[in-house]
Amino acid sequence: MVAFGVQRRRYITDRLAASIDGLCSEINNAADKATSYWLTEGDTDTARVLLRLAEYELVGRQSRIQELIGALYIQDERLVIADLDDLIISLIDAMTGGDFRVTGRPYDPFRAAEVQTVAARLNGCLRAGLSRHVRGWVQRPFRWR
Amino acid sequence: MTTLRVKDYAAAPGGRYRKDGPYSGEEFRDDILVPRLLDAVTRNEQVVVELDGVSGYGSSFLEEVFGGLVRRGVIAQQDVARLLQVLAKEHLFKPQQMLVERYMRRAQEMMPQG
Repeated sequence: MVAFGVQRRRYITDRLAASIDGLCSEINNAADKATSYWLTEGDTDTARVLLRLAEYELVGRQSRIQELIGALYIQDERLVIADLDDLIISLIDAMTGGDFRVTGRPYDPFRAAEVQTVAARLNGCLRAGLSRHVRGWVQRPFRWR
Repeated sequence: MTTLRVKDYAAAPGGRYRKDGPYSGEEFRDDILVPRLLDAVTRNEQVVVELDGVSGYGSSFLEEVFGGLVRRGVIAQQDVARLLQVLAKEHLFKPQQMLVERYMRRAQEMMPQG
């Protein structure tokens, strides 16, 4: 019975870790796309078409990340990740804030760098959150004694 | 209480300024939200803006609507919380709700005091 419980918990943790891996990849891809967007100027017709395409894609990626985070909490309702909300809204702001969708905006190296920094912090926050969650589960039986 | 659903006016919210195309933040703020707010002020009511049900927001749209509302001084800074509430019922739009709060707070901080 104990072995079954341990196995089941381990299965849940492995699935959670896989979901966080997937989420981190999604965040990194979105950040890379956003960096390209902010470093591109719409000075030709082709560039303008590509920027328009990127704008729709970035809003879509943003929604995907938000949905995946929602799914994480459903997967494990006891999961608590400190600072996640704050970092998510910082990522969304860095991706599609500022002069997003503004016609003729200049390239924006600050925002291009910021989106990478926030994405990196999110990666760290998610992985640290998972580690704390797992450690909490391992230590809990000893604390209960 | 007056409820304003963004999806009724902009199912696919656009960019920041009117010149950037239809359903811009500037258009929503000036043509939809401000008249409703001013009307609500006279009746001392609260306007609730629901963010749900659209196909996704660029944050620049939200900043222009809500940050711009504070910057333009449409309602006095101390009355913002009393007269305007921004809500997201779907979990998908909860981050946008928090982002709106951040934009309004920032806009207030950047306003000259006094």
